[in-house]
Amino acid sequence: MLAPMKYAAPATVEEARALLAADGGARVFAGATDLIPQIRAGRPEPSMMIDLKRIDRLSGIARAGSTWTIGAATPTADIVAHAGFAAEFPGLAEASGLIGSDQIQNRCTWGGNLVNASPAADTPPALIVNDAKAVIASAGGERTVAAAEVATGPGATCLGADEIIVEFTLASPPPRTADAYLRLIPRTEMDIAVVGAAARVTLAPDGAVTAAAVALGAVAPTVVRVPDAEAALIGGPLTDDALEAVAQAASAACRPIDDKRGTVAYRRRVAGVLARRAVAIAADRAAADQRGASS
Amino acid sequence: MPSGSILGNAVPRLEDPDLLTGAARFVADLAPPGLAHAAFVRSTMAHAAIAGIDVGGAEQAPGVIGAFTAEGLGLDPQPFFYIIPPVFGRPPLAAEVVRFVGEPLAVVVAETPAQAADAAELVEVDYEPRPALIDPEAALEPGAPLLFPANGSNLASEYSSKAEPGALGGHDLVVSGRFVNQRVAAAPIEPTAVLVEPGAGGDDGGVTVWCTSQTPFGARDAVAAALGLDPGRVRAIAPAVGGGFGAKAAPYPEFVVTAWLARRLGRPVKWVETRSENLVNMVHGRDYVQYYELGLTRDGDFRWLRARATANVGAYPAVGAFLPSFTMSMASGPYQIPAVDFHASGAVTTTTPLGAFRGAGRPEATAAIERIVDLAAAELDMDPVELRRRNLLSPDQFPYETPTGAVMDCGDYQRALDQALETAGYDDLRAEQRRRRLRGDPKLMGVGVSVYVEVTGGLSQEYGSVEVTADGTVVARAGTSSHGQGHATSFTQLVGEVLGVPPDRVRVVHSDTFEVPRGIGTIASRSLQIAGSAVFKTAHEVLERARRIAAHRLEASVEDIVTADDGSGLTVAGVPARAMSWPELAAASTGGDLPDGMAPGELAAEIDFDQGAATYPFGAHVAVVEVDSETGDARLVRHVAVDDCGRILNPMLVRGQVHGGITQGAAQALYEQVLYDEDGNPRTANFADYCLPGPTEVPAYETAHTETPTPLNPLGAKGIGESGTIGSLPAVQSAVIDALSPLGIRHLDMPYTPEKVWRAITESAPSPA
Amino acid sequence: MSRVHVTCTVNGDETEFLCDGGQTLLNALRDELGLTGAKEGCGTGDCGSCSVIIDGRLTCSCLVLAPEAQGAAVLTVEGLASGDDLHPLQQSFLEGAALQCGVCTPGILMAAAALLDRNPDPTETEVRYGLAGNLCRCTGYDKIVRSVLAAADSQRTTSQRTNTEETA
Repeated sequence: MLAPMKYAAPATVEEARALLAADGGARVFAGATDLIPQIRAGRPEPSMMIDLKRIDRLSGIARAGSTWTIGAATPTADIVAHAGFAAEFPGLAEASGLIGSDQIQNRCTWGGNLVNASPAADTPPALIVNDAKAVIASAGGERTVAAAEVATGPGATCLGADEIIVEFTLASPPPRTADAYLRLIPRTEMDIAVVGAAARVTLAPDGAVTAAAVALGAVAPTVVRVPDAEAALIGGPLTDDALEAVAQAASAACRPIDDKRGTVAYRRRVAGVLARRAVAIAADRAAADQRGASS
Repeated sequence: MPSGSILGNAVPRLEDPDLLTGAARFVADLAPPGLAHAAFVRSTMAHAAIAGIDVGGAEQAPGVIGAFTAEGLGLDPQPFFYIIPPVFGRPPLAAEVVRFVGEPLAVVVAETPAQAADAAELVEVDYEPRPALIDPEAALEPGAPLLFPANGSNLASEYSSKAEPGALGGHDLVVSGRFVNQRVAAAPIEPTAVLVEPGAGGDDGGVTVWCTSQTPFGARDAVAAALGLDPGRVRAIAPAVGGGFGAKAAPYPEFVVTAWLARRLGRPVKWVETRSENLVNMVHGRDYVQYYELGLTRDGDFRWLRARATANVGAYPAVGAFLPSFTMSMASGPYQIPAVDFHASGAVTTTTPLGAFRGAGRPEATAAIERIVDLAAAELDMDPVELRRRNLLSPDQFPYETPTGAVMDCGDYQRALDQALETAGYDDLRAEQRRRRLRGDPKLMGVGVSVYVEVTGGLSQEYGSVEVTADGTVVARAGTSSHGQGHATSFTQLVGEVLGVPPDRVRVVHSDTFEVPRGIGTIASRSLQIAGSAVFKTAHEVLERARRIAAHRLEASVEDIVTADDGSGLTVAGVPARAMSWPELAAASTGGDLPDGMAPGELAAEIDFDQGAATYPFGAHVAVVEVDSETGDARLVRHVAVDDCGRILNPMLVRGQVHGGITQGAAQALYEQVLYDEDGNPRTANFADYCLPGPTEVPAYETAHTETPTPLNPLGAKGIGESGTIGSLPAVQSAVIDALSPLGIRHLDMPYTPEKVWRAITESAPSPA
Repeated sequence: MSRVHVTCTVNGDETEFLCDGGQTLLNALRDELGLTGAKEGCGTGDCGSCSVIIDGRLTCSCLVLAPEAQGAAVLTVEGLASGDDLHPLQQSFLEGAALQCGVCTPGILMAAAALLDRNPDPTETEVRYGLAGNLCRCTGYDKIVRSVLAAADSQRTTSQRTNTEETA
């Protein structure tokens, strides 16, 4: 046994919020792949675990028009396996498929990955370059915030004590647009990122970059956007010089710390390398994107 | 082997059906009625005097049966390994001083594991901190704080082999290096566990100790000595054991404490280590600092070797303090080096005790000699294979006594090297490497070659017996203790080979000190060659007795008596109707109508087989790596291993031993390292921080064998349990350095983490003008 | 604290047990139901030796709370074989000697079973990635990977034969 805790599996968001409001020591969870090891290590010590997986609205992947809605408790394995979604967001699918093992991906969720607020989490950079929005159930109803605004520091979020992320929304990318996510870890699988880099690129038919987004994980308390890299790309073709400018901008944008996974100098360097490579992969995918061919 | 023999065949393992269906029982799976659960309170300080321990809170916690400290136990300090001087004795629970983070200092027993764990957190310890000591070289400096003041220094062991005065000469050049063979964790997937039940057989005052052990007799003796019991009153049993790798060779203090608790409480008590406990409590391996100098001629002929090593043996000297002797005996590796001057010191520090681990002293020797040979090749601008060839011992030199005193039985190192190079396509690899370097491939390719020789079966005696029981079942007993090696299978093969009986008529008994009279255990790659030989020889003795009985009863000549084709017994050759079944033979053996001069007795034989000396397996490995020049990320992409363990009994079992060993060596080269901060706090106490290799870290292996039978035992077999690790580590290490060599890099200490490699690349690059 | 009553199916059998809210499914399987095939190797989801399949999903049972199993179908290594007939993976592991000490084997079998359910014709690389959540300290993975590939082959052959028989 981990600790003396109550367990609840509410069927609605309202019930879950009521349980949270009534017990200050309660924690919501879906996959608990971060939370259970934390509890085992002694922190936190919840009085109650509120299982969100029995709430219908929190699980599932749907597209209505050009808007995708993904339940906050949907296992990332389902996202990886969803061919339609992965075709539009290959980088976000990659990030979702890099968290731990198959065992972990059958449990872990975007919602959990975001609210655990580890600086090294894999999906937030990829959510952020795709301008994902989190729909949050609050006392006053619901509010929508950018995924980029959810984590405010290591282990800290913008969520109030009785708030729950219900779902994420994403707009289908425009034609000739694609994303990519890369990370560096000591092994091939299972490790926590030393650096993660997500990129999204939109190309004009002539190959010029018309829109770009670059975001880095594990190099600052929260995910870092790299506007200088984006500016270096937009308006021109994807030249080696432009890619080098991306690398330099990414390295410059880092505010890393020395820790057991990497030093400041190394993280800066790798952030540049991975940002450059991620942009190149995203651009290749965008160029190959057939969705825009008929429009 | 004779034709029709089952020896040399890939026979599926008899152990496996239970393991595959979840039916096998490991210690943690056992739950006798009335079971109580123990949890240990462990030191959070690397080094401190214990000013007080308050177990009052724990005693009052729900479900708690008792909470105890060293004072309550009243047990004397124990050596936990037989050669350790008494000054380094270890109290089963720390009494006055704690010497590493994780050292047990109190124990709580409760009705459930959760209650015991919760209550253990309520034990309050008052520490008076003392200085931590992490670095073994610093520990031996004058003025270093002393872990055992009565010893007068932190020196725990010393091994030396001096060259003759003036012998270190005749060279044109000397290459030298400082090599760190980093500390690694054994990390078997099953952590340590022990369950003790009061009573042993019919002896209410004894205890039965179910433990995760490679040496149940060692566990028995440790518990008996600590509790003041005759060893015959302690029954130690190792049921299914989930990997040991040397770290389950020596008994743990928790065995003794749990036995004390079971006797005190009159209830079965179980303790199961958590992973975070395991990574600080189970013995670690390696942790050497080595200074090597090799004197050689311009032509590449080795003249002499000077080696200095300091082993960090941790807080309590145990097996680890003894391992430098293995390193010494293997110091010159497979090479002819006329003079060797070796000195090794073992230093105590405030870290987890050092024990045997996968190679135990030999990987340290091999890695260092192979590294200095590579440095010499670089210095001479000679192909590292060519330099090795020049200096390898040749088959006609055996038996060969090395300058450090090892007497090596036999070997054909050149043949193993040739086969490894051919399998790898060495020349093609070098050609590909040249092409990739010319075109500036950002993925740096590296090729590493190692040749190794190691020592197995040095503890050369082991018990074995074979008995044909009344119902014809053949029972083979051995003093060894399988924990994944497949002894039930290989010993059954041996019995079947001699007596002709099918596997389902053989029962192998081991790992139970009430079922086997004596033994040593499964350590140092010794089990098949020594215990296997014991079983093989006693099976032959049983066969000869049975043949004489059959000849007498069937009125035939002994020479004409052969094993029946159907395994049922013995028969007159060519006349299957004239036969005696095994039950008939067993009955006849104890009866009155026996050949002249044969006394009635069981159809059985036992032996303490002694092969008299160690055997020396060898081989050659080739590793190919790729290094991402921008991130420093190094990957093993191919690994070729040619190992020679003498005659092979079951190639499937041998392959498994080799594959696992290769993975361990590669993992130490690339991933694994136990780390402490400067205060002695462990920084790698879970599997997120201590990186074991998974299936995506390693390639499919290309393995082959040469067979050079040893003359020292009737099987011709040498050990294979550790060869893979010993051979692979230097090959992978060499491959990474080879990848970086165009940058002028000649040596890096392991593990080759991306950041370490990137840093080396960055620091080697000419700074921008 | 009051105990939670859980009803579920384990290896096809309707099962009920009492557990604590903070108890893991692994503990419940081992301590309440006596199914000790799944092992605790780390307790943090890193080693995979506690792997079980819940409603078709491979999970680390050390990271699942026991009450979550309410209404679920749980498959453990004890449920892989059909009576005395080993599962094709078990048979293949036996023939390929894909285990040594065997403590990681129950978890690896469950991961391999989940992989082959999802992908009946995996490449060697896909097998390695499919088993990336399972650590083995003995075998070096080589014979495990080969045995999973062999089991996939034999399962495909069997199912092709069955299909042929059905259409015949």
